Amino acid sequence: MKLMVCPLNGPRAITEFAYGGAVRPMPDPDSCSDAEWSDYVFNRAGSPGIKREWWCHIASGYWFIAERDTARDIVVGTFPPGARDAPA
Amino acid sequence: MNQLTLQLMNERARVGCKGPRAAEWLSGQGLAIPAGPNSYSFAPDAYGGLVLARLGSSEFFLEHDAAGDTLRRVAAGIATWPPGVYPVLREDCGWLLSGVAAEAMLAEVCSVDFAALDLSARPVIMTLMVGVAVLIVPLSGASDRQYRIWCDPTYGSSLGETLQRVIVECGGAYLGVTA
Amino acid sequence: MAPSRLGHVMRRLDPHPGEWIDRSLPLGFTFEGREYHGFSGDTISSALAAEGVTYLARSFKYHRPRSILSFANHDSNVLLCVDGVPNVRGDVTPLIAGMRIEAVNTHGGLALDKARILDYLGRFLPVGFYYKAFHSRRYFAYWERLFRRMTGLGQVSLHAVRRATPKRYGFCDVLVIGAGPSGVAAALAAARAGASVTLVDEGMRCGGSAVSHAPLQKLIDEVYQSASISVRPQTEASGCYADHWVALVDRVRLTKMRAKAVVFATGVIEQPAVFRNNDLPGVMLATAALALLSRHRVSPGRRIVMIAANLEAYEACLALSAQGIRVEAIIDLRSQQEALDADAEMQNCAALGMEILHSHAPYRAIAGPDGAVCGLDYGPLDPNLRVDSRKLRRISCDALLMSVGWAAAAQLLQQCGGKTRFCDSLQQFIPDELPTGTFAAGRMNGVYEIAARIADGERAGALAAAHAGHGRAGDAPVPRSTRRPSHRFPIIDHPAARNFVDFDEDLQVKDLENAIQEGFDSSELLKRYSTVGMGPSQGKHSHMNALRILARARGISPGELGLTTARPMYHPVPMKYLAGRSFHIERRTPLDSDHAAIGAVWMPAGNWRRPEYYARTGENREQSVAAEVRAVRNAVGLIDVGTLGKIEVYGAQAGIFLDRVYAGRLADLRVGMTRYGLMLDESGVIVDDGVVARLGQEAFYFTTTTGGSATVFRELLRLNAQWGLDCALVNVTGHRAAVNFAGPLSRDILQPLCNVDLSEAAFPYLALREACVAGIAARLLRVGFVGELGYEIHVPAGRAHELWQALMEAGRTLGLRAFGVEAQRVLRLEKGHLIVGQDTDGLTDPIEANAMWAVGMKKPFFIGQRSLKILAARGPRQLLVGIEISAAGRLPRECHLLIRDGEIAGRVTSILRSQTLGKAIGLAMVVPELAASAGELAIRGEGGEMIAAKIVPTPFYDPQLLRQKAVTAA
Repeated sequence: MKLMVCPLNGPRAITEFAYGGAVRPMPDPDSCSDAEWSDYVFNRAGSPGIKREWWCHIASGYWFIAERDTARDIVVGTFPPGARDAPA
Repeated sequence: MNQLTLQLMNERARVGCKGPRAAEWLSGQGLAIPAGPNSYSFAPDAYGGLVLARLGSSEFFLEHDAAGDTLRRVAAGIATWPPGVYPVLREDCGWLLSGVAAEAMLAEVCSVDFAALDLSARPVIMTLMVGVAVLIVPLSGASDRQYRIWCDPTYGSSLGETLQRVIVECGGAYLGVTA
Repeated sequence: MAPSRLGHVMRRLDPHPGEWIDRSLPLGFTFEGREYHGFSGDTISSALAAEGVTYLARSFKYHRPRSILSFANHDSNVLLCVDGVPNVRGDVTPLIAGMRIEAVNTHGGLALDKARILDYLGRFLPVGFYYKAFHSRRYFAYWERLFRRMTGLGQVSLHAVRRATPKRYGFCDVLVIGAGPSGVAAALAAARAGASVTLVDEGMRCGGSAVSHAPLQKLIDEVYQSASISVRPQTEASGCYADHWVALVDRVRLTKMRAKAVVFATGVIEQPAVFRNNDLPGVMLATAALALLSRHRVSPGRRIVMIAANLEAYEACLALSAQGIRVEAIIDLRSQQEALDADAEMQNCAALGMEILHSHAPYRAIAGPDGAVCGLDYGPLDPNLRVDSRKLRRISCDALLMSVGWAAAAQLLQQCGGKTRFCDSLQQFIPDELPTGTFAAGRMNGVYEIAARIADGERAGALAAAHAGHGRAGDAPVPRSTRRPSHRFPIIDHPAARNFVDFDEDLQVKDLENAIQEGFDSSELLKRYSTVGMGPSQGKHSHMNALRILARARGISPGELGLTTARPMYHPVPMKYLAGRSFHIERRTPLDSDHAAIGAVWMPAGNWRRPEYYARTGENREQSVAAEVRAVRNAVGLIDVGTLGKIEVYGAQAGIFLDRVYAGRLADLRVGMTRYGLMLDESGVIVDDGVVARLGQEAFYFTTTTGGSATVFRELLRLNAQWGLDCALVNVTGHRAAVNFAGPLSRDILQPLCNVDLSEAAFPYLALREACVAGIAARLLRVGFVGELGYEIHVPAGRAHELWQALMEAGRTLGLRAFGVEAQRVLRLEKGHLIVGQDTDGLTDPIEANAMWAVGMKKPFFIGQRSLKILAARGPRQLLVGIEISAAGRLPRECHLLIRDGEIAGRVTSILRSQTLGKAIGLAMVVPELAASAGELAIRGEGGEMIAAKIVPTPFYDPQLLRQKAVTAA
């Protein structure tokens, strides 16, 4: 079982976490086109590589950002949500 | 001394609060605020001590003997909604796990290595125990460690039955409600 | 004890220092009904061998007699049934007094197995036989019956008692797998650096297969003395998973070991030579003979012939000779030139009178009258590694030992992502790329000499400790061996076959060659088609030879083929170890025992248990549900709604937060009022609903659906973290109990218990009051979910019981009934209220659900708003409508289809018979044209019958909402 290092709780088994989807900037709903909006809502990049994702430590309800390399199946790093512009 | 015992602690007083000014406000009530996130302070007193656990950075969980009046006072204060302090209703189910075999028993229900914990840092552990979110406060006993385990009361009866079964299988004793 | 005729008979030798058996503790047991004796310290196989038992098992396919081959946990032919437990491995299972042992896979006992006829019908059992047999559908059933009768190893008792075998989590800095010389050295080095170490080995003791060696023994003693090394013999590392997570299986339980670093000192597995009749009892690996002799003092035979292709063969001959076992001849596959690495040992062997024949190979083993080996035909080996059958010579012997090569036990290393490459000079796969925190040492790493193995272990142990944060270590590699411990092709063709590659599955050289010819010529395909390596030993003694055969057929190196994937488990693991304790955690409201006390019949709702209805004597289920509905409509009812998600949000921007997450406008909600809220996802689909109450200027309290409470709260936390608004969320779902007290009499009963004025003017419909009910601080919400005057009463969980009892007592003489989930479903459907997840699905938006009244499209932003704009422009694809069925007879069920002109025009989402209304009512999701037509329609029922229904407006009951608003309250 994989480990993930929660910025608050430290390293824990992956079963203690819930996945919350990719970190995706939302286009401005007032100015974007229907096509841009649909792309945002429905399309996800599934190709292997570095993914920036929301993860939640279930027991503490703490959300943070994790960077995973899905090609190598490793967690590259985790950051508190406020630090989501931390080095990629 | 028993190797392993489990006691129910539902009779203890429990209070919670959170918010940007919760730490400051609690401190103003004369309580010792744990410095770091996920740690606790322990204030010994005539009632066996008050535990103030800091959950993350801005949430707090306090528990004390029901006979003490500190938490009654704190709860009444929180109920007045001081600015930046929000009440957190805590009706948790609680157990006290103690005995030298406690870590071996915990290893059957929880994937955290409790034996490796440094108790001098007074850590608070939030983890899953047989799939249920629990809050664990480990305290140093005379010759062993004592783990105060808290969970959502609606999981309490089911988790309690499970822990009771595991304790007995591990050669320990279920002592029911704390005397 | 020994019979007079010449034959393969093993026997127990005199005591010898260092033996593992305790002769003061004899143990009696039975095998196939006969009584035998062994000693404490024996395994089942060693005890049987010592008693001169020739046959220990029958082979899987041809039912040939088999005995000890590896004596190292790979004797997959010797699977026994012990005291009713199947699949017990004789070679490694310690003997216990009183064991009742039976052979498996025999038809009429081991000696007279009727199925041995199959050995003579071999040509009718070609490779891929199962695939070929089952290819035709016509004979499928015939073959299936036959195979079920003929195949399988042992029987599972259906009357076995269930014994919980708890799993356990384990933790250590460094896990060392394998306690041979390199593993022992690694453990010590890691411990010296300050790491906590766990050392596991599948064997009974440390030392691995290495025979007595003084420096090694000193290290083993040190290991046992070290306080920071936990030694776990008889413990298999069964699977390696991500981040150094290793499944350890001992004789009691499965331990899920989380290490910070892992050292693989898993060693090598001795490989058999392949020649005709290489499976006869008495043909065994040299390591097996040495282990039998030195540990259990069982002589492998009296006249031994060694088939050799490495230095270890000569060392084994010398060790046997030192213990008084006569080695007649050594048949070395290698030329004298190739065998120079064993020059000194050869000279010693020759000096002891052993005949040494270079460039010779076994051609066929000869079976004696007892079916065991009694001789060997051998001949010169040509450069193409074929034996010239015209130049054969025969030698008699009662044991034939093989020492021709090794296969790296790299399975566990591969499981955790390690890569291997084939080393041509060693003729072995060696670790190539190791994942972070994993280290390999010893013979598996290509290091063969014992001093070097110890040095390699120390290197790996120090590196592992450093990785785990203890000490520092350089990475000066220990050079790999330069000699060749494994022969490149120890496989001899024979026209009559029975030269076994895989003993588990009785696969011969020609079976593999035929499979390759049929086109299954990659290692993975060959494995699946021929089943090589798919038996109980998982290829541990067959994979390398099969690979060599495939490589020869294709004219390439085994390295170009690569190893097949070795998945967990490394050895078979009893299912009960994996099942563990099987925890079942159920969520119960604080009123659980109150429900049980009045006859609650439970139903699961998510992970909760809830009362479906309350059984009363003299009523069946339908009557109870109907009576509960009547109580709410005519008097008063009480339901536990504590399973609803209950969330508080505080802070200056709490209203803004709720305006973003709910589709409706909430920021303008007045303090002391509630409003229905609909939650959408980004695509505009309804994901949850509930009631939002404003407790104060900066405080809200809201409910979510029972099923959605955990996920909704978690998502709200995420949004709060993302948006960074000045507000905080508190989940009080489990900490706050809630009941709905509803019915025309609810106010009259509640008022005396309550310290606030419940009059219509003081506490109108949809209002919220904080009050004291029966002395308990409570939140009261005027809600209308069931369509009557009613109050949701929310109190701290610890006070729920008191509240419930007080309400029950207050209404006892006034027709109060507790009602369950089923009655609530009837009541809400009579009101036409949808249930998210039942009447809506993963595509339903509020337009389709007729819920746009709860959506504030003019708000600046809410989740799903932008998508709703697109959906509104497009128009709905379906609409939720009310339907009724007036005819008696069987009702359609939820999800049954509406049919119009032979086409599907919708589906029923809710349906039931309303006693209140005297007809069947329901909700259906239908195509918009149908919704507009408001005409007759047909639903295809359970048996295909068409049931007439019609679309009607909702609510079905009290459409003006007079009752819940208490407008007509008398």
